[in-house]
Amino acid sequence: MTTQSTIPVTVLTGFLGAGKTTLLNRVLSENHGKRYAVIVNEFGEVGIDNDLVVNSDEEIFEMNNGCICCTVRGDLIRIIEGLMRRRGQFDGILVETTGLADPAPVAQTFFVDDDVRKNTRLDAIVTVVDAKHLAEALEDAHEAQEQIAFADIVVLNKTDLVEPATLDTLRGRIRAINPVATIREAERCNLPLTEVLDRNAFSLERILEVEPDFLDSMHEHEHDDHVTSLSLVSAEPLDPNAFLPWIQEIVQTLGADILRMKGIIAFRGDPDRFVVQSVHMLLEGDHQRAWKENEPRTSRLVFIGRNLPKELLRAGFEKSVASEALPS
Amino acid sequence: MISLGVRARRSVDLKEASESIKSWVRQSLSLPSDTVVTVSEITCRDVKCPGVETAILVMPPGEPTRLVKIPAPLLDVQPGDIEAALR
Repeated sequence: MTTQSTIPVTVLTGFLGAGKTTLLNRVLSENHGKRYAVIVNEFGEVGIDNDLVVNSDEEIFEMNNGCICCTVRGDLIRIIEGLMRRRGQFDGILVETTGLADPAPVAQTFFVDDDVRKNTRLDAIVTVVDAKHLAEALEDAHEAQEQIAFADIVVLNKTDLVEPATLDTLRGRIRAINPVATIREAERCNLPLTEVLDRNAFSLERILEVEPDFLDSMHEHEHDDHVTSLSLVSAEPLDPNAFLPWIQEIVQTLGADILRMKGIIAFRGDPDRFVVQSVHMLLEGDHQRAWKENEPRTSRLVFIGRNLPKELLRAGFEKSVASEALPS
Repeated sequence: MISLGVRARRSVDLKEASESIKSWVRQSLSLPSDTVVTVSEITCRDVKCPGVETAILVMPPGEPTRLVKIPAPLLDVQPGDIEAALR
Protein backbone atom coordinates (compact mmCIF):
# COMPACT_ATOMS: atom_id res chain seq x y z
CA MET A 1 0.00 0.00 0.00
CA THR A 2 2.99 2.32 0.35
CA THR A 3 5.16 2.69 -2.66
CA GLN A 4 7.51 5.58 -3.27
CA SER A 5 5.72 6.76 -6.39
CA THR A 6 2.33 7.27 -4.76
CA ILE A 7 1.17 10.73 -3.73
CA PRO A 8 0.34 11.06 -0.01
CA VAL A 9 -3.17 12.24 0.76
CA THR A 10 -4.10 13.90 4.04
CA VAL A 11 -7.80 14.06 4.88
CA LEU A 12 -8.86 16.96 7.07
CA THR A 13 -12.11 16.55 8.98
CA GLY A 14 -13.77 18.53 11.74
CA PHE A 15 -16.82 20.57 12.52
CA LEU A 16 -17.48 24.02 11.11
CA GLY A 17 -15.42 26.55 13.07
CA ALA A 18 -13.03 24.00 14.55
CA GLY A 19 -10.05 25.42 12.66
CA LYS A 20 -9.74 23.29 9.50
CA THR A 21 -9.42 26.29 7.22
CA THR A 22 -6.77 27.87 9.46
CA LEU A 23 -4.71 24.69 9.19
CA LEU A 24 -5.33 24.45 5.48
CA ASN A 25 -4.24 28.03 4.89
CA ARG A 26 -1.06 27.35 6.82
CA VAL A 27 -0.29 24.37 4.59
CA LEU A 28 -0.81 26.56 1.54
CA SER A 29 1.06 29.63 2.71
CA GLU A 30 3.96 28.49 4.88
CA ASN A 31 7.36 27.65 3.55
CA HIS A 32 7.61 23.97 4.49
CA GLY A 33 9.33 22.83 1.33
CA LYS A 34 6.41 20.89 -0.15
CA ARG A 35 3.63 21.81 -2.53
CA TYR A 36 0.14 20.57 -1.80
CA ALA A 37 -2.84 20.31 -4.09
CA VAL A 38 -5.88 21.06 -1.97
CA ILE A 39 -9.40 19.78 -2.53
CA VAL A 40 -11.87 22.00 -0.69
CA ASN A 41 -15.63 22.08 -0.37
CA GLU A 42 -15.87 25.89 -0.26
CA PHE A 43 -13.55 28.00 -2.39
CA GLY A 44 -14.43 31.16 -0.48
CA GLU A 45 -13.06 29.94 2.84
CA VAL A 46 -9.54 29.50 1.54
CA GLY A 47 -7.75 32.80 1.52
CA ILE A 48 -5.07 31.72 -0.92
CA ASP A 49 -5.28 32.19 -4.67
CA ASN A 50 -3.63 29.06 -5.94
CA ASP A 51 -4.32 27.02 -9.04
CA LEU A 52 -3.70 23.84 -7.06
CA VAL A 53 -6.84 24.51 -5.00
CA VAL A 54 -9.76 22.57 -6.46
CA ASN A 55 -13.38 22.82 -5.41
CA SER A 56 -15.43 19.66 -4.94
CA ASP A 57 -19.12 18.92 -4.56
CA GLU A 58 -19.66 15.86 -2.43
CA GLU A 59 -20.81 12.98 -4.65
CA ILE A 60 -21.41 9.85 -2.61
CA PHE A 61 -21.30 6.83 -4.86
CA GLU A 62 -22.14 3.20 -4.09
CA MET A 63 -20.09 0.67 -6.05
CA ASN A 64 -22.48 -1.96 -4.71
CA ASN A 65 -26.01 -0.87 -3.85
CA GLY A 66 -26.30 -0.27 -0.14
CA CYS A 67 -22.93 -1.76 0.77
CA ILE A 68 -21.28 0.56 3.24
CA CYS A 69 -17.69 -0.46 2.51
CA CYS A 70 -18.07 -0.01 -1.25
CA THR A 71 -19.35 3.55 -0.83
CA VAL A 72 -16.87 6.05 -2.20
CA ARG A 73 -16.63 9.75 -3.05
CA GLY A 74 -17.10 10.12 -6.80
CA ASP A 75 -16.03 13.76 -6.70
CA LEU A 76 -12.65 12.78 -5.26
CA ILE A 77 -12.11 10.14 -7.94
CA ARG A 78 -12.78 12.71 -10.66
CA ILE A 79 -10.57 15.37 -9.11
CA ILE A 80 -7.69 13.04 -8.34
CA GLU A 81 -7.76 11.69 -11.89
CA GLY A 82 -7.55 15.31 -13.08
CA LEU A 83 -4.73 16.13 -10.68
CA MET A 84 -2.74 13.13 -11.87
CA ARG A 85 -2.53 14.78 -15.28
CA ARG A 86 -0.58 17.53 -13.49
CA ARG A 87 1.69 15.15 -11.66
CA GLY A 88 5.01 16.71 -10.79
CA GLN A 89 3.43 20.03 -9.84
CA PHE A 90 2.72 18.96 -6.25
CA ASP A 91 4.09 16.62 -3.57
CA GLY A 92 0.90 15.78 -1.71
CA ILE A 93 -2.86 16.22 -1.67
CA LEU A 94 -4.94 17.64 1.15
CA VAL A 95 -8.67 16.89 1.18
CA GLU A 96 -10.88 19.13 3.27
CA THR A 97 -14.28 17.67 4.12
CA THR A 98 -17.43 19.47 5.16
CA GLY A 99 -18.15 19.69 8.88
CA LEU A 100 -20.81 17.00 8.70
CA ALA A 101 -19.08 14.71 6.20
CA ASP A 102 -18.88 11.00 6.89
CA PRO A 103 -15.15 10.17 6.79
CA ALA A 104 -15.75 6.55 5.72
CA PRO A 105 -16.49 7.11 2.01
CA VAL A 106 -13.55 9.50 1.83
CA ALA A 107 -11.16 6.91 3.30
CA GLN A 108 -12.65 4.07 1.26
CA THR A 109 -12.13 5.93 -1.99
CA PHE A 110 -8.39 5.39 -1.50
CA PHE A 111 -8.80 1.61 -1.12
CA VAL A 112 -11.73 0.71 -3.36
CA ASP A 113 -10.98 2.61 -6.56
CA ASP A 114 -8.01 0.90 -8.21
CA ASP A 115 -6.96 3.96 -10.20
CA VAL A 116 -6.95 6.22 -7.16
CA ARG A 117 -5.10 3.56 -5.17
CA LYS A 118 -2.51 3.16 -7.90
CA ASN A 119 -1.62 6.85 -7.83
CA THR A 120 -2.14 7.88 -4.23
CA ARG A 121 -1.92 6.56 -0.69
CA LEU A 122 -3.98 7.69 2.25
CA ASP A 123 -1.41 9.26 4.57
CA ALA A 124 -3.56 10.18 7.56
CA ILE A 125 -6.97 11.34 8.66
CA VAL A 126 -6.59 14.50 10.69
CA THR A 127 -9.57 15.67 12.74
CA VAL A 128 -9.57 19.20 14.11
CA VAL A 129 -11.77 19.74 17.17
CA ASP A 130 -12.58 22.92 19.02
CA ALA A 131 -11.85 22.56 22.75
CA LYS A 132 -14.48 25.16 23.61
CA HIS A 133 -17.32 23.35 21.84
CA LEU A 134 -16.21 19.72 21.65
CA ALA A 135 -18.17 18.45 24.66
CA GLU A 136 -21.37 19.93 23.24
CA ALA A 137 -20.67 18.59 19.74
CA LEU A 138 -20.04 15.09 21.11
CA GLU A 139 -23.39 15.16 22.90
CA ASP A 140 -25.34 16.56 19.97
CA ALA A 141 -23.90 14.97 16.84
CA HIS A 142 -22.86 11.44 16.02
CA GLU A 143 -20.73 12.89 13.23
CA ALA A 144 -18.39 14.50 15.77
CA GLN A 145 -17.78 11.14 17.43
CA GLU A 146 -17.27 9.39 14.10
CA GLN A 147 -14.78 11.99 12.91
CA ILE A 148 -12.73 11.36 16.07
CA ALA A 149 -13.18 7.61 15.65
CA PHE A 150 -11.67 7.70 12.17
CA ALA A 151 -8.79 10.00 13.07
CA ASP A 152 -5.13 9.11 13.10
CA ILE A 153 -4.36 12.54 14.51
CA VAL A 154 -6.76 14.66 16.57
CA VAL A 155 -5.83 18.33 16.75
CA LEU A 156 -7.38 19.61 19.97
CA ASN A 157 -7.55 23.26 18.97
CA LYS A 158 -8.36 26.48 20.82
CA THR A 159 -6.96 25.11 24.06
CA ASP A 160 -6.48 28.69 25.30
CA LEU A 161 -10.25 29.06 25.54
CA VAL A 162 -10.76 26.40 28.23
CA GLU A 163 -9.44 25.61 31.70
CA PRO A 164 -6.78 22.89 32.17
CA ALA A 165 -9.30 20.68 33.98
CA THR A 166 -11.66 20.87 30.99
CA LEU A 167 -8.78 19.88 28.71
CA ASP A 168 -8.14 16.81 30.85
CA THR A 169 -11.78 15.81 30.52
CA LEU A 170 -11.70 16.35 26.76
CA ARG A 171 -8.58 14.25 26.37
CA GLY A 172 -10.39 11.48 28.25
CA ARG A 173 -13.43 11.74 25.97
CA ILE A 174 -11.24 11.58 22.87
CA ARG A 175 -9.28 8.63 24.26
CA ALA A 176 -12.47 6.74 25.12
CA ILE A 177 -13.64 7.03 21.53
CA ASN A 178 -10.25 6.51 19.89
CA PRO A 179 -7.43 5.09 22.02
CA VAL A 180 -4.98 4.90 19.12
CA ALA A 181 -5.09 8.42 17.67
CA THR A 182 -2.29 10.86 18.37
CA ILE A 183 -3.67 13.92 20.18
CA ARG A 184 -1.95 17.22 19.44
CA GLU A 185 -2.97 20.39 21.24
CA ALA A 186 -2.96 23.82 19.64
CA GLU A 187 -4.33 27.31 20.12
CA ARG A 188 -4.93 28.57 16.59
CA CYS A 189 -3.84 25.38 14.87
CA ASN A 190 -0.32 26.56 15.69
CA LEU A 191 1.23 23.11 15.79
CA PRO A 192 4.21 22.11 13.62
CA LEU A 193 2.88 21.00 10.23
CA THR A 194 5.20 18.00 10.40
CA GLU A 195 2.84 16.62 13.05
CA VAL A 196 -0.03 16.37 10.59
CA LEU A 197 1.61 15.95 7.17
CA ASP A 198 3.48 12.97 5.79
CA ARG A 199 2.64 10.75 8.78
CA ASN A 200 2.24 7.45 6.91
CA ALA A 201 -0.43 6.49 9.43
CA PHE A 202 -2.05 3.86 7.21
CA SER A 203 1.22 2.06 6.65
CA LEU A 204 1.26 -1.35 8.26
CA GLU A 205 4.75 -0.50 9.49
CA ARG A 206 3.31 2.21 11.71
CA ILE A 207 0.24 0.52 13.07
CA LEU A 208 -0.29 1.20 16.75
CA GLU A 209 2.65 3.52 17.15
CA VAL A 210 0.55 5.14 19.81
CA GLU A 211 0.10 2.86 22.78
CA PRO A 212 -3.63 2.25 23.08
CA ASP A 213 -5.20 3.36 26.34
CA PHE A 214 -6.14 0.01 27.78
CA LEU A 215 -7.85 1.72 30.66
CA ASP A 216 -10.55 2.98 28.34
CA SER A 217 -13.16 0.95 30.17
CA MET A 218 -12.80 3.52 32.97
CA HIS A 219 -14.17 6.16 30.62
CA GLU A 220 -16.98 4.04 29.29
CA HIS A 221 -19.21 4.56 32.28
CA GLU A 222 -18.96 8.31 32.21
CA HIS A 223 -20.69 8.88 28.86
CA ASP A 224 -23.13 7.01 26.75
CA ASP A 225 -21.14 7.57 23.58
CA HIS A 226 -22.45 6.42 20.22
CA VAL A 227 -18.93 5.38 19.25
CA THR A 228 -16.76 3.47 21.69
CA SER A 229 -13.59 1.43 21.58
CA LEU A 230 -12.42 -1.91 22.84
CA SER A 231 -8.77 -2.75 23.42
CA LEU A 232 -7.83 -6.41 23.73
CA VAL A 233 -4.48 -7.67 24.85
CA SER A 234 -2.85 -11.05 25.30
CA ALA A 235 0.56 -11.89 26.71
CA GLU A 236 0.09 -15.43 25.38
CA PRO A 237 0.70 -16.06 21.66
CA LEU A 238 -2.29 -16.46 19.36
CA ASP A 239 -3.05 -19.35 17.06
CA PRO A 240 -3.14 -18.09 13.44
CA ASN A 241 -5.54 -20.87 12.48
CA ALA A 242 -8.01 -19.52 15.01
CA PHE A 243 -7.31 -15.79 14.81
CA LEU A 244 -7.25 -15.25 11.04
CA PRO A 245 -10.64 -16.89 10.26
CA TRP A 246 -12.12 -15.18 13.33
CA ILE A 247 -10.98 -11.66 12.43
CA GLN A 248 -12.16 -12.11 8.84
CA GLU A 249 -15.56 -13.25 10.04
CA ILE A 250 -15.81 -10.39 12.53
CA VAL A 251 -14.99 -7.81 9.88
CA GLN A 252 -17.39 -9.43 7.45
CA THR A 253 -20.31 -9.61 9.86
CA LEU A 254 -19.73 -6.54 12.04
CA GLY A 255 -17.80 -4.34 9.60
CA ALA A 256 -20.70 -1.96 9.07
CA ASP A 257 -20.35 -0.89 12.70
CA ILE A 258 -16.59 -1.29 13.10
CA LEU A 259 -15.22 2.03 11.90
CA ARG A 260 -11.56 1.20 12.36
CA MET A 261 -9.58 -1.70 13.76
CA LYS A 262 -5.84 -2.00 14.30
CA GLY A 263 -3.72 -4.73 15.79
CA ILE A 264 -0.28 -6.18 16.29
CA ILE A 265 -0.40 -9.92 16.81
CA ALA A 266 2.16 -12.41 18.13
CA PHE A 267 1.49 -15.80 16.61
CA ARG A 268 2.70 -18.99 18.21
CA GLY A 269 6.07 -20.05 16.82
CA ASP A 270 6.27 -17.03 14.52
CA PRO A 271 9.37 -14.82 14.82
CA ASP A 272 7.64 -11.89 13.03
CA ARG A 273 4.96 -9.48 14.17
CA PHE A 274 1.68 -9.78 12.27
CA VAL A 275 -0.11 -6.49 11.76
CA VAL A 276 -3.72 -6.00 10.82
CA GLN A 277 -6.02 -3.05 10.16
CA SER A 278 -9.45 -2.37 8.75
CA VAL A 279 -11.74 0.44 7.71
CA HIS A 280 -15.27 -1.00 7.94
CA MET A 281 -15.03 -4.27 5.93
CA LEU A 282 -11.83 -3.38 4.11
CA LEU A 283 -9.29 -5.58 5.82
CA GLU A 284 -5.54 -5.73 5.42
CA GLY A 285 -2.96 -7.81 7.24
CA ASP A 286 0.61 -8.89 6.75
CA HIS A 287 3.77 -9.99 8.46
CA GLN A 288 5.99 -7.14 9.51
CA ARG A 289 9.39 -6.97 11.16
CA ALA A 290 10.72 -9.62 13.54
CA TRP A 291 10.03 -9.28 17.26
CA LYS A 292 13.07 -7.79 18.95
CA GLU A 293 14.99 -9.90 21.44
CA ASN A 294 13.78 -8.17 24.60
CA GLU A 295 10.46 -7.00 23.26
CA PRO A 296 7.42 -8.45 25.04
CA ARG A 297 5.50 -10.54 22.51
CA THR A 298 2.18 -9.00 23.42
CA SER A 299 -0.76 -9.10 21.04
CA ARG A 300 -2.87 -5.94 20.94
CA LEU A 301 -6.08 -5.42 19.03
CA VAL A 302 -8.21 -2.28 19.11
CA PHE A 303 -11.73 -1.95 17.75
CA ILE A 304 -13.39 1.46 17.33
CA GLY A 305 -17.04 1.37 16.38
CA ARG A 306 -20.74 1.75 17.02
CA ASN A 307 -22.55 -0.57 19.39
CA LEU A 308 -19.57 -2.88 19.67
CA PRO A 309 -20.56 -6.32 21.04
CA LYS A 310 -17.67 -6.20 23.47
CA GLU A 311 -18.20 -9.54 25.20
CA LEU A 312 -18.49 -11.34 21.87
CA LEU A 313 -15.31 -9.71 20.61
CA ARG A 314 -13.45 -10.40 23.83
CA ALA A 315 -14.57 -14.05 23.85
CA GLY A 316 -13.50 -14.56 20.22
CA PHE A 317 -10.11 -13.01 20.86
CA GLU A 318 -9.57 -15.17 23.93
CA LYS A 319 -10.46 -18.27 21.94
CA SER A 320 -7.67 -17.35 19.51
CA VAL A 321 -5.05 -17.66 22.22
CA ALA A 322 -2.97 -20.71 21.40
CA SER A 323 -4.07 -23.41 23.79
CA GLU A 324 -1.02 -25.56 23.59
CA ALA A 325 2.68 -25.22 22.97
CA LEU A 326 4.15 -26.11 19.62
CA PRO A 327 5.43 -29.68 19.40
CA SER A 328 9.18 -29.62 19.85
CA MET B 1 -7.01 -2.98 0.77
CA ILE B 2 -5.79 -6.44 0.04
CA SER B 3 -6.88 -9.70 1.54
CA LEU B 4 -5.04 -11.05 4.53
CA GLY B 5 -1.70 -12.49 3.51
CA VAL B 6 -2.42 -12.30 -0.20
CA ARG B 7 0.03 -10.09 -2.04
CA ALA B 8 0.44 -12.09 -5.21
CA ARG B 9 -1.54 -9.75 -7.48
CA ARG B 10 0.00 -9.55 -10.89
CA SER B 11 0.22 -5.80 -10.89
CA VAL B 12 1.71 -5.50 -14.38
CA ASP B 13 -1.00 -7.73 -15.86
CA LEU B 14 -3.67 -5.86 -13.97
CA LYS B 15 -2.39 -2.52 -15.18
CA GLU B 16 -2.39 -3.68 -18.79
CA ALA B 17 -5.86 -5.21 -18.45
CA SER B 18 -7.18 -2.07 -16.82
CA GLU B 19 -5.79 0.12 -19.62
CA SER B 20 -7.32 -2.19 -22.24
CA ILE B 21 -10.73 -2.01 -20.57
CA LYS B 22 -10.54 1.78 -20.43
CA SER B 23 -9.62 1.90 -24.08
CA TRP B 24 -12.51 -0.41 -25.06
CA VAL B 25 -14.96 1.69 -23.01
CA ARG B 26 -13.70 4.94 -24.53
CA GLN B 27 -13.98 3.49 -28.00
CA SER B 28 -17.45 2.02 -27.48
CA LEU B 29 -18.90 5.22 -26.04
CA SER B 30 -16.77 7.60 -28.16
CA LEU B 31 -15.72 9.41 -25.01
CA PRO B 32 -13.80 12.69 -25.14
CA SER B 33 -10.47 12.87 -23.28
CA ASP B 34 -11.89 14.94 -20.41
CA THR B 35 -14.24 12.13 -19.40
CA VAL B 36 -12.69 10.18 -16.54
CA VAL B 37 -12.88 6.39 -16.77
CA THR B 38 -11.71 4.27 -13.83
CA VAL B 39 -11.59 0.50 -13.57
CA SER B 40 -11.59 -1.36 -10.25
CA GLU B 41 -11.80 -4.94 -9.18
CA ILE B 42 -14.21 -5.11 -6.26
CA THR B 43 -13.75 -7.95 -3.81
CA CYS B 44 -16.14 -7.02 -1.07
CA ARG B 45 -16.38 -8.96 2.18
CA ASP B 46 -19.98 -7.97 2.81
CA VAL B 47 -22.14 -11.08 2.69
CA LYS B 48 -24.75 -9.10 0.77
CA CYS B 49 -22.30 -8.26 -2.02
CA PRO B 50 -21.64 -10.59 -4.94
CA GLY B 51 -18.20 -12.14 -5.44
CA VAL B 52 -15.41 -10.60 -7.47
CA GLU B 53 -16.64 -7.95 -9.89
CA THR B 54 -15.10 -5.39 -12.18
CA ALA B 55 -16.55 -1.93 -11.70
CA ILE B 56 -16.11 0.72 -14.38
CA LEU B 57 -16.91 4.33 -13.59
CA VAL B 58 -17.59 6.68 -16.51
CA MET B 59 -17.48 10.28 -15.32
CA PRO B 60 -18.28 12.91 -17.97
CA PRO B 61 -17.62 16.48 -16.73
CA GLY B 62 -20.73 18.06 -15.28
CA GLU B 63 -22.80 14.91 -15.68
CA PRO B 64 -23.70 12.11 -13.28
CA THR B 65 -21.33 9.19 -12.95
CA ARG B 66 -22.30 6.00 -14.75
CA LEU B 67 -21.40 2.70 -13.09
CA VAL B 68 -20.98 -0.37 -15.27
CA LYS B 69 -20.32 -3.71 -13.58
CA ILE B 70 -19.09 -6.95 -15.03
CA PRO B 71 -19.41 -10.07 -12.88
CA ALA B 72 -15.85 -11.25 -13.50
CA PRO B 73 -12.33 -10.58 -12.23
CA LEU B 74 -10.60 -7.70 -13.99
CA LEU B 75 -8.12 -9.98 -15.75
CA ASP B 76 -10.97 -12.00 -17.30
CA VAL B 77 -12.93 -9.11 -18.80
CA GLN B 78 -13.25 -9.33 -22.59
CA PRO B 79 -14.38 -6.68 -25.11
CA GLY B 80 -17.65 -8.60 -25.57
CA ASP B 81 -18.39 -8.31 -21.83
CA ILE B 82 -18.05 -4.57 -22.05
CA GLU B 83 -20.20 -4.30 -25.16
CA ALA B 84 -22.92 -6.30 -23.39
CA ALA B 85 -22.66 -4.29 -20.17
CA LEU B 86 -22.79 -0.96 -21.97
CA ARG B 87 -25.86 -1.92 -23.99
